[in-house]
Amino acid sequence: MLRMTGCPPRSIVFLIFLSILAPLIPAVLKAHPQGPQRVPMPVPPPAKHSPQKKKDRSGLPPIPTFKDIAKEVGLTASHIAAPEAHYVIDSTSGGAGLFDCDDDGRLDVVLVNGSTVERYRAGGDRLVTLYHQEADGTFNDITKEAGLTRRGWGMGVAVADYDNDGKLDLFVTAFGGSALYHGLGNCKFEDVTEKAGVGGSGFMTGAAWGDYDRDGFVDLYVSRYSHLDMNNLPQFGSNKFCRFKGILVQCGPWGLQGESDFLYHNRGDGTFEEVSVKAGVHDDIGYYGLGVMWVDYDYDGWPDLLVANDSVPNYLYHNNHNGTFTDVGMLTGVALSGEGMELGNMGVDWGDYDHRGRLSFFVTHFEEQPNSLYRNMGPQGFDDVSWTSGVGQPSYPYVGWGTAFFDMDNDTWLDLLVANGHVYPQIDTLETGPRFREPLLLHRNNRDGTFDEVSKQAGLQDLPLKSRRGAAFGDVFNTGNIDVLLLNVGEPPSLLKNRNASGFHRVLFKLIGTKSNRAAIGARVTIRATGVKQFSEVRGGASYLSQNDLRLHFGLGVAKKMESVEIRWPNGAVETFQNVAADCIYTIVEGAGIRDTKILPPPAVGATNAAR
Amino acid sequence: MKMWKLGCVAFVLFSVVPANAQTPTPTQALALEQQGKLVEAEKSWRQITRADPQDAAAFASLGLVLSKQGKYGQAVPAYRKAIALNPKLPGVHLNWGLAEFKQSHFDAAVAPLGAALAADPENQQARTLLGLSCYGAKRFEDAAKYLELPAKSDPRNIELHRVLAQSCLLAKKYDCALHEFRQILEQAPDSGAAHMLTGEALDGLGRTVEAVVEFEAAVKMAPREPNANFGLGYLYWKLHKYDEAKGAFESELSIDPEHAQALAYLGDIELKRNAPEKALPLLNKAIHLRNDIRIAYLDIGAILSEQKRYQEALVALLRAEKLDPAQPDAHYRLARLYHAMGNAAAAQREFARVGELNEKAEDMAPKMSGPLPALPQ
Repeated sequence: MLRMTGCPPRSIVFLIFLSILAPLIPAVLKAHPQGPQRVPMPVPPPAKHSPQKKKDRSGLPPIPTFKDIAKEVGLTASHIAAPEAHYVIDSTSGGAGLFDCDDDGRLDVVLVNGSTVERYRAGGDRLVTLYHQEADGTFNDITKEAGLTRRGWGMGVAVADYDNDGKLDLFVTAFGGSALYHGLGNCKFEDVTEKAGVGGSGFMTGAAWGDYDRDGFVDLYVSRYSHLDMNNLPQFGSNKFCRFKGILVQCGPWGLQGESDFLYHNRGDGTFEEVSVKAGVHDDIGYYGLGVMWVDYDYDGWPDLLVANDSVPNYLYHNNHNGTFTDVGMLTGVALSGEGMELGNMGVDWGDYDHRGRLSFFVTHFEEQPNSLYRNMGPQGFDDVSWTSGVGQPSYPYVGWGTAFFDMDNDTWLDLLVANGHVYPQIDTLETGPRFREPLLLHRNNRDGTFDEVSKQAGLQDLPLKSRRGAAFGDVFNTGNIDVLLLNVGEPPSLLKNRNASGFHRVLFKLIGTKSNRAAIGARVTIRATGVKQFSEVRGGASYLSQNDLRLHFGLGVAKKMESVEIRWPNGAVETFQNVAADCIYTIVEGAGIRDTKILPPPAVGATNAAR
Repeated sequence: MKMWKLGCVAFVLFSVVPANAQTPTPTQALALEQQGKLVEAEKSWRQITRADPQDAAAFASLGLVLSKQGKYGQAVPAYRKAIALNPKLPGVHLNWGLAEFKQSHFDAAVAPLGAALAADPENQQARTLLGLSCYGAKRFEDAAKYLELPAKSDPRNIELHRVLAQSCLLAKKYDCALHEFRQILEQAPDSGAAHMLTGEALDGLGRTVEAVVEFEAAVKMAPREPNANFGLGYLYWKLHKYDEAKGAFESELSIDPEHAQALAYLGDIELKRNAPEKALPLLNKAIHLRNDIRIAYLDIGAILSEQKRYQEALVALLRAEKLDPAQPDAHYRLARLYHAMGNAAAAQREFARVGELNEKAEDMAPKMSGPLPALPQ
């Protein structure tokens, strides 16, 4: 999250002055006591600038527009945050989630509530607010009825079915003690934190479910940020680590003691064992952990683990297939920027954005650090293509958080959205530069390895500025388009309805494991449609401390059907389906085939997309 | 900054140098000196010092007569001798320091001028000369310290303010530099150079966006001012505004086609735009012109690594590393290159170095965060 690390670009003083003028001092004094004679020079015509030739984007579909409908659909609960954000913990909350808590086929919404130091000391706030989606697309706050009543200081959410009972469970990270809510069905939950043994301690932030040992039960990884004593917090502006651009700000993370992370192995009996040391993912250095994700980046069938660490290297833990992991972040190139700099890493996602059959890695960063796109080169590791792909430059002024690859226009190519927002409200006192509330970024995939930033065309620049954090992506209204739920610091959330009208086909898959974990976390679906191969994985936790729709969505372009759909279940079994029609939501049960088909509305064509 | 003007400042000071050496020597030598018969006076003082080699004042007078003739190289030993015989002889340190200064022996001038100021802390002339000497000796922090008072008492002396401003700039006292440059700009608002220097100070304060405004003004006023376009381009580059940066670098190259830094940064932009085939010739030309442009070697190393020309890449990256071993980027690229070449031990060594350097960067945080504002009273 925090400030630029490593050596910044050098001051111009040292490029121009020292190199050119300083060596001349004795000579000039001696040889030119009267000073040089100036000869008027003719002014040359301005040099021809050679701006990059604008590439022809006429073959791309119109850009969808997005509308914030949160208020009109009843998502009105405000996130709780201290306006002055005097402490680092004021800046990290929180995440957002989309999941179907009553299995009615409609996504429900979970929002982390946050808190303040004073409120936390007085018992804290409910960790989350749960909204149930009604048949008419509005939402009702059912937090209390749902039993999600634990208080504290909520940070992030991750969803899975840890006991394979067919009802989704909710894990909420929090400062001081996280919560595991066991799903009872019908959006009712039971707090089983203590019984399960996953309450943890300290400043917990990111969480992700993944069945790393492929035993059919999802395990849980929890990242932690820094050590904080709530009764002895580092005082605002009190030392050298508490200022930024000349103004006094909250202290941290530098100067704060980092904390190790947790890996909870699911015993399969409703309890967990903390095995991070044994597994080699303990983070005994104590990096400032934030976003986490399980991903099979090398396609060996075993989930690996990415941990985004603020201001220090990322971890990429490669699964050794024996319950242990090896950090290959440095060797593969995703630990640092391409220049070897440590960056303020926040939110994460993986996607095959260039249709090469490999998952590349995207991570959001602090101000004056480009968001990074690491292209998966296979055995050679990853190349940092942040600048050449075009995602780096637009992101440079902002502090990035929630993010995901998603196909906003169903053209088969993954686009990117980034939620931004500064951590220091005091930044608004500076005359120029960034502000606490920042715009969103939307990167449209140009199908050539590059992206254009199109937030303006998508109507996102018309939205009020917010300091945003978590972002959850999913087809909230079963329209076949991916919508975006955003957590706004100290304010109600935003729900960006995707009004894509490209006319392209699409499909969603809901997977249910039987031998594998029931929510099929870690399953990989690969589709082929008109020769184009796409794939994605089911994930329990992603983005920034957030939960995306567990259903996998694919844009199909003009294809009305898929030649093949291949599912690699988390336990390794592979099933293939041929000639599957587009424009449906399929429920596929491991070993039992397609068990349910819901037909999506016809793809919209029309005026709700912006002209290119 | 026009350095010749520093000479002008010194000239003014020299023209009023006190000839206050006491003269316990024969009246004849002094009379000759007063009549302007300096050669004869020198001869007399030489005879007197030969007759009495312990006469400190006579050596001081000899030094002064030699200085008046511009024979600073000969004057210095005479002053040294005088001081050796009587360290408290008034005025001699100042004259000695001035003789060193006039020879551009700025390092050598600092000690006698420092002694002169210590003996007479109110002596503005000694203070100014000491400040200028420190500046000439590249002791910019000291220069800023000594020049502050003289500049304050002479607000219309733009050249003196300019030296102070540059001293502050190079001592990284950016607030002071900015204050001085802004004063200069008030008196000379159309000075392209002053805008450039103000921009440099702002950049040093981390206020790069404002620095751009100053450099844009400089380029508008003096489009052919050397480095103005390059400076503007560099600031754009720093802000990752590559379209604008490219234009500015090309403008600099239209003035000086062999501006190696402009070529290098232009090459870097091409590389960032995924056009290594355009970048490589620019970068190669840059290092052909100057072999100390680190970014050019770094980028060449990256391009050649990508092309699997590992040995050539290694040479370039090692050069980049040598030019600034404290930067993690070259170590990181070397590490990855060694890894690709199958040299795991070397890769590990470089990765470890990257870690060390990034760890050090944590200590730099306050510097990058800018100065602490004054707390309210």
